[in-house]
Amino acid sequence: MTVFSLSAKNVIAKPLSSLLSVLLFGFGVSIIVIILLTSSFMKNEISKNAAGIDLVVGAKGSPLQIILASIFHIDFPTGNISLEDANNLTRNRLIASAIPLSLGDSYRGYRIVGTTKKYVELYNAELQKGELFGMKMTVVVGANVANMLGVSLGDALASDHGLSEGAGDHAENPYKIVGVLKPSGSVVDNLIITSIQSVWEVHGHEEEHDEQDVSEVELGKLGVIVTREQLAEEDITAIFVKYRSPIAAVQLPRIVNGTSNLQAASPPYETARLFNIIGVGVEVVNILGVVIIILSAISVFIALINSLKERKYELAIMRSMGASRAKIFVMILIEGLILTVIGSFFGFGLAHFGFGMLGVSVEQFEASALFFVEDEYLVFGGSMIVGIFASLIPAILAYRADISETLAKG
Amino acid sequence: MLTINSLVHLYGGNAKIQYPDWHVEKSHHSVILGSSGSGKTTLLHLLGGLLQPSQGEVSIAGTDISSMKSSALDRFRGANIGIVFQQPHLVSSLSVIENLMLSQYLGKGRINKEEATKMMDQLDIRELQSRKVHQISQGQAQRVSIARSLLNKPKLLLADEPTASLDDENCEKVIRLLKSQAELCDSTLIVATHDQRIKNELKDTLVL
Repeated sequence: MTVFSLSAKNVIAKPLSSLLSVLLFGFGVSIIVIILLTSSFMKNEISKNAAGIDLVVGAKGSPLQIILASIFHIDFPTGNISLEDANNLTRNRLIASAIPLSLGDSYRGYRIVGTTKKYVELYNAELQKGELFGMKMTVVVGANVANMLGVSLGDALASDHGLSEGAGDHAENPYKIVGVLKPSGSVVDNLIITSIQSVWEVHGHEEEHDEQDVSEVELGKLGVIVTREQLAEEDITAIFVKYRSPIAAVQLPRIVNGTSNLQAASPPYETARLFNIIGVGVEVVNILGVVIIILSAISVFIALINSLKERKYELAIMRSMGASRAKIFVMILIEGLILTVIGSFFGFGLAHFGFGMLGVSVEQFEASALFFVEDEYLVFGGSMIVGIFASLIPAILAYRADISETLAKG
Repeated sequence: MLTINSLVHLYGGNAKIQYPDWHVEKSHHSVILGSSGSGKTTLLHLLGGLLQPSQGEVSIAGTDISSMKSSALDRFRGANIGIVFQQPHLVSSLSVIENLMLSQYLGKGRINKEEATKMMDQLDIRELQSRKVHQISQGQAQRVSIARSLLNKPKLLLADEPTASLDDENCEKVIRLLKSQAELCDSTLIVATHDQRIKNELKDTLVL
């Protein structure tokens, strides 16, 4: 028999009231932890997907939309820019290199990205089997695409026009899968990647071939070779720019925005802005979690006070049997802590389980229940402090109780 | 065994109660007799160290407990004084035997299950040992509380109105039980009561 076992027996002796305290405390903790996990996970994902991209240049419009559409592939592009404008821009000495992107088609909900091989390198995506796409209507598919659609090497994909299903298709001009990528944990997993020329081909501009200039030019910084005709007539959606020097971060956006059709979007700046917007919601849910924790602390407090009232004779008799004030104090404190410790473990378990479930049920959200964040220690520490405070007043009351007065009445 | 000397207790307001000097020899089981409000429970609490006297001294087996510090008094009480209250007030989250072991743990800091079992045999409550407190009758609970207070073989066994609500037959039974158990444990029994029936059973009487 120890003080701890006495406390534990007292907690068990009131299963319903203990359960209520544990549940409330657990839910409060789990809300805060799941918010913490989700936002850390998203920040992680975003910085992973935006790594190595200094600036995105797209058609005039919302810079946030450009970022969402061309980096994260979750919004629609602002429009197209002409290849010529893009090429003229990349001649600027502030730009080290650039990757062109042509978006707009999809296959059964998965987006088709026309680009260069450098795009695949940017995300360090490796081939699982097959080879990278070439010029002529060949694609590599991300790991998720291959899994979810059950497609593999040699299959033909007839792309849909637009980014959602059923918006008309390009059945007469199907792509052929020549490669499947390994899972990389980045957006590439959910994309179908092809050459930029193939996208142009699908949209069929080459009927007017004759009389046109078919001599080829190399657009060095963009890393593509096109015909003069294509340079003059084709459009792309955006380019990812890599700066040559830090000074470009100051000058280049201004130059781009000064060009009538172009809009510069800085990934760090826009994602920070996005987090500010989401942040309000996160804040609200966090406050909700804190409120639930405080409510549950009050419930622990009330449970302890009530049980003190019921047990005041028992406690006085324990004193009369030789228990010191300190022992009674510690016993009550431990009772409160048992409830809050179990409650917070329950909360952490629930949060991680829920987070893992989210990973299973939501596509493009590759979360694992074993994803831990350092700040969880803070949540645990904070919940312990709340638990100590909730138990402190009852413990002090028990400490100060006048046993003679209590026993004289009963 | 027990000596009280010019003992005075001041109540919260300005009421004051002065007790006559009294001395009880070892094994002279005694009774403190007084009507309600005469301060007999207060005296019992002073004797048991549950209350610090305002003036005067209480000495038990040669130790003056009136000037002891709170924690030292707790230890002394746990080891040397057993108290039977009017209501048993057993610890409800524990079983009968755990209640007995609690007394050992708090009083002496160690648990001896054998002694606890022996004490239950002595009081004829062995078969209740694993029952929860709410599963036994009031009379059985009183026996458990007597067993609990005697388990550490206290020098002094105090009982507060143990017979208040009992009929003549049971009153006699309880008082005989207290006496015989106190003797078995080599304790000196002091009963505080307004119950005149007890007077004849015990040697010394202090009338308040």
